[in-house]
Amino acid sequence: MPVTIRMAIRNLAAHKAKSLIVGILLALGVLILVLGNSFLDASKRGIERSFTRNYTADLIVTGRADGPVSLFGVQSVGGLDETPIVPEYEKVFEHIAALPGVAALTGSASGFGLITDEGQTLEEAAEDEGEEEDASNAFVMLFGVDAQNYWSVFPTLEVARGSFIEPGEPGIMVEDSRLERISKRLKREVKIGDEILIQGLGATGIRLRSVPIVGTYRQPADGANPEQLSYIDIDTLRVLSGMTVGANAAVSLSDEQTELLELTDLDSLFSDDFFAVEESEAAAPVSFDLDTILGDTSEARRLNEADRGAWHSILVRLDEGRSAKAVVAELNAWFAQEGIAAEAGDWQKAAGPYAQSVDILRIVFTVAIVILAVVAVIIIMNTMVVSVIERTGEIGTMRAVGAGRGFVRAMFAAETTVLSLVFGLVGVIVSFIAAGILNAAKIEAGNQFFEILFGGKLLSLLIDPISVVLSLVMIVAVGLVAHFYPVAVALRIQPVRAMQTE
Amino acid sequence: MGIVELVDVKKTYPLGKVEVHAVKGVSFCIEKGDFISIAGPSGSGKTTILNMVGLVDQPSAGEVYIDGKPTSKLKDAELTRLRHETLGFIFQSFNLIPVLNVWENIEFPLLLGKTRVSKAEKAEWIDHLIDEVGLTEWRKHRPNELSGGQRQRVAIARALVTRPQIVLADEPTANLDSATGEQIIELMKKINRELETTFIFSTHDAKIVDIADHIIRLKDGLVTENLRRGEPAAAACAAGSAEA
Repeated sequence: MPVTIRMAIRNLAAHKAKSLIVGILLALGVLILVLGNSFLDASKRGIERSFTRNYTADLIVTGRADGPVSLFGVQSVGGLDETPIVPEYEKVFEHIAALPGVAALTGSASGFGLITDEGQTLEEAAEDEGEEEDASNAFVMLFGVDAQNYWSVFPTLEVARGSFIEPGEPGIMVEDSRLERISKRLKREVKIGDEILIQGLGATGIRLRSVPIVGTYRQPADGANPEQLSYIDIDTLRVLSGMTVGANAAVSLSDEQTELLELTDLDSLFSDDFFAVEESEAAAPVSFDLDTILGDTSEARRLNEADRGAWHSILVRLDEGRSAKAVVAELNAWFAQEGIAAEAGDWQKAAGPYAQSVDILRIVFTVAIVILAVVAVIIIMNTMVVSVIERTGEIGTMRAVGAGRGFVRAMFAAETTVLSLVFGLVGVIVSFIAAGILNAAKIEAGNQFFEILFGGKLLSLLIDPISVVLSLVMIVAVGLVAHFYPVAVALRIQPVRAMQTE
Repeated sequence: MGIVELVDVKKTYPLGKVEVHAVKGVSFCIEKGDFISIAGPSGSGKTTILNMVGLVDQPSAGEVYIDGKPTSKLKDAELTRLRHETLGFIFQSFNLIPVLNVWENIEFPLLLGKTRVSKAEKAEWIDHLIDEVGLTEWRKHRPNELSGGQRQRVAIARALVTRPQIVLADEPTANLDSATGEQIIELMKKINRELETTFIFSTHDAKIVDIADHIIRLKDGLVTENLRRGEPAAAACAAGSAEA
């Protein structure tokens, strides 16, 4: 064993108190790093597993918008931006279906609604909930599904009661435990087959639709799940979300109509000429028929029908082992080449705010770790400077008998590395023990926030070997950064100091 | 030519706003194989001169020649190498490395230089030195398990392990009782005879001074006596050393 390592180990053992102070700090750093990363990894893994299995599949294609588009719509300031539809849906769908490695795909759309009686507002619904409940029982996140393809993309989804939504049939599927809560909310027993009134909350206004509950699904227990999620037939969803033919219809205006739209002087609308025309028309005898008073409304009805080509996203399930990253890149290149304003992304794009919550948490964690590292560096540095001062005579003697500056540097680097590695390993062992205890304790996520944080319904920590290695590397790096100043102090010690010690 | 030569060496220390003239112009020559005592009362400049001869301190003026080479212009790394290759140190407070045992303390200087010796050769030499200083039974003991005399014996063995031409000892008996001190000086003298190593030691103990072959007496930073036993006049270096 090199003399520097031998001396390092013995020096650390000889100065137990100082070694313990620095070591405990380093071990604590590793413990926080390993457990924190394990927690965040579990969270991300749980969300990924849950979302790819149950909601997002392996990749998503959406239309483009100013903000990021996910399965849950556009993320924007205020959250009122309308979710764009996938342009040239049929062409895009067929292109993806023909790609190698694509196992299944489906169209999807999302929206939000309120389970209500006779069109209550959210505030009114909340008041009806009583003291112990909140408005969340009334609120529904709606996934409009292509009943032909959707269930084959998500084969793990289980029907608890009733059946899946059939192609071409209206219907809604709610999470199994919600049926009782909906009954409570509507103050009547709601069974499979009963109709409920949904108030759509879209950017284009409030729309109401009555829809039968065709079944309930079971919440998968293997990961974080968005609460209040209900599957609904796509046509009902389109109407509730304002995805109607009229929403996208182009209207040709005459010059006169265009001029009226550009009018800035509102007073001119009420000019004498305007009333003169009205008066002259009112003079003619007119008979009113209530059925025909609005004239031919077939066009208005047509425009209010669901736009059957409108989808917010296409969800794609890939064959096992096929890289989503490669397919995403391939699709985005194709969109650019074809001039289609769509974009593909992996499950993280699809999961949107749910995946970002872990990223935000990781940033917060990283900032906290950096602060901790700075504090650790200062404490270690101070302790080592004291140690250097105490060993002035020893260092002076080494220098006098022929040790160069390089030897002194190597000696302190060896001490720091040995200390960091030994206590780093202690930190790793403690992390494994702590993770085992926490896993054995089966800590439950009490609410949706903690479900996302835990990546499932139970806290489940799995320590990644790469995270262990990186934590050890980081802690050694912290130690080495901390040792620079003490070494500089040691290098200033002249050999003559050996002669001055008592 | 002397192994060590000092030519008009001065050393001044700043002490607050005043300057302390520790050595005020000292010249002397030490021949190879000398067993020399630098004697004088406290504050006479013994340790300062020893520090400059040991290349752990630089003179304010004048020149120190080691084996004919001037040392004032040498850089830190060159001084370190010269110290390692030419000089051995015995300190007043022993200055052993506390975490190394007797054998390892003696081995330590051999681990520092660029010269590599075989493991067997190294072990044989260290064992020989341990036998020579009478610590065969104590080779695995740490310094804190040894008496003062034993520690100084380890320091002597450590000073000799690189086979230096010169061994410097600063008050080597100051922390020892008189009997042990005499034993240490006798040991140094024995090694001096056997290995022809030059020993330069500072002391203010008159009994120990008497054992030396060559005595340089100092007072207030100046040489007051430079006496080689059996020679009537002060020793002078052979011509040529100072011209290097």
